[in-house]
Amino acid sequence: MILIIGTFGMLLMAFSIVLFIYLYQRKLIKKNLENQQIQDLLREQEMKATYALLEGQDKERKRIAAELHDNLGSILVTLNMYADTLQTKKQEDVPALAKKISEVAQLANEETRKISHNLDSGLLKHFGLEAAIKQLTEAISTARKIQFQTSILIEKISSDVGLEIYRIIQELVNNTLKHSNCSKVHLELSQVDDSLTIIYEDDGVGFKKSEIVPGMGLKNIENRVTKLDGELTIDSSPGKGSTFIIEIAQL
Amino acid sequence: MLTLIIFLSHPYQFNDIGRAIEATYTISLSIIYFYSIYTNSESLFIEKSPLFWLVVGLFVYFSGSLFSFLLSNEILNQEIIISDYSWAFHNMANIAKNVLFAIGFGLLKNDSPSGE
Repeated sequence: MILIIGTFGMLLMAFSIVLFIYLYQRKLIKKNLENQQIQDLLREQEMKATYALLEGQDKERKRIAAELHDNLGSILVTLNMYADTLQTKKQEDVPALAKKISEVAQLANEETRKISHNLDSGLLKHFGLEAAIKQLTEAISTARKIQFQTSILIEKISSDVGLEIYRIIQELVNNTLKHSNCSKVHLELSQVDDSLTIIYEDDGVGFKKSEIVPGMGLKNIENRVTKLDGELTIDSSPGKGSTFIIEIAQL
Repeated sequence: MLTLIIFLSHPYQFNDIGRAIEATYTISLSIIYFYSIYTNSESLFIEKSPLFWLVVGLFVYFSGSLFSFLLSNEILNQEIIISDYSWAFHNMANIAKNVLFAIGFGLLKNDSPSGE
């Protein structure tokens, strides 16, 4: 009797241990596969954003070229024409012509100022941080059934800072997809003058700050925030989702 | 270990304690192996690893026969028919082990770099 019970007990134990290990491995493989998919999705989005950026720059360059050619170019041609006429004209016509030249030169000056102003703000506007973030969140909502709520109020951000911010958001999204198991994400970017606040909230499983495992990408986010002279506040507890607040005082 | 195996049992008896210790030792080693897989958290298709099948084979065999070994002298002193039936547990575990070994070695062949 002892023999039967003992043997079956041991066999049952052996079977359950092996089964557990097998199922655990299965789960691990599945999770890794999912993570791989997330990585692919993010990489694809990043590529799209880069293309959009390049396209924006190209468009802007073409616009500036066209403006230079059409406006400033033609004004300078007119100026040249007047200057040529000046050499052959009689003495009494010179003051009138000189006045005209002065007017045209003034016009050219104004045009140059306009173009340089456009050059200053246009390119930054064309980076399209907003568009890039929207594209990212839309792609993830469709692929992962996560509801993204975004509110982006930004005015003018240099492309370097914009890219850093995009990377931070990308990393946050990456973490959310990998670890949080959430259904809703709220993302808010608001710029007031030179300061920017990013609030990122999810309703996932949350985590304890003491239990943060290295490699979660948080270090990466921290580094980027430090680089921008910002401050990162993390508020999370198990079962209550997590909130990341990033404040950058001086853009 | 050797001392135990040699001196703990009567020379003309089945070496029950020696074999039971062997079984416990192998079971412990197998559990250590499983635990290392668990903590390693490296994703691999475990059912394709020959080592896994071999360890499972040893694990199943020694788990299944540990009690047979412990009670071996009692079993051998029983009537012959009860004794035979009692050894059936050990034999079944042995067959299971051999099947698992066969699977493991089969995989080993596929794994060999020569591909033969």
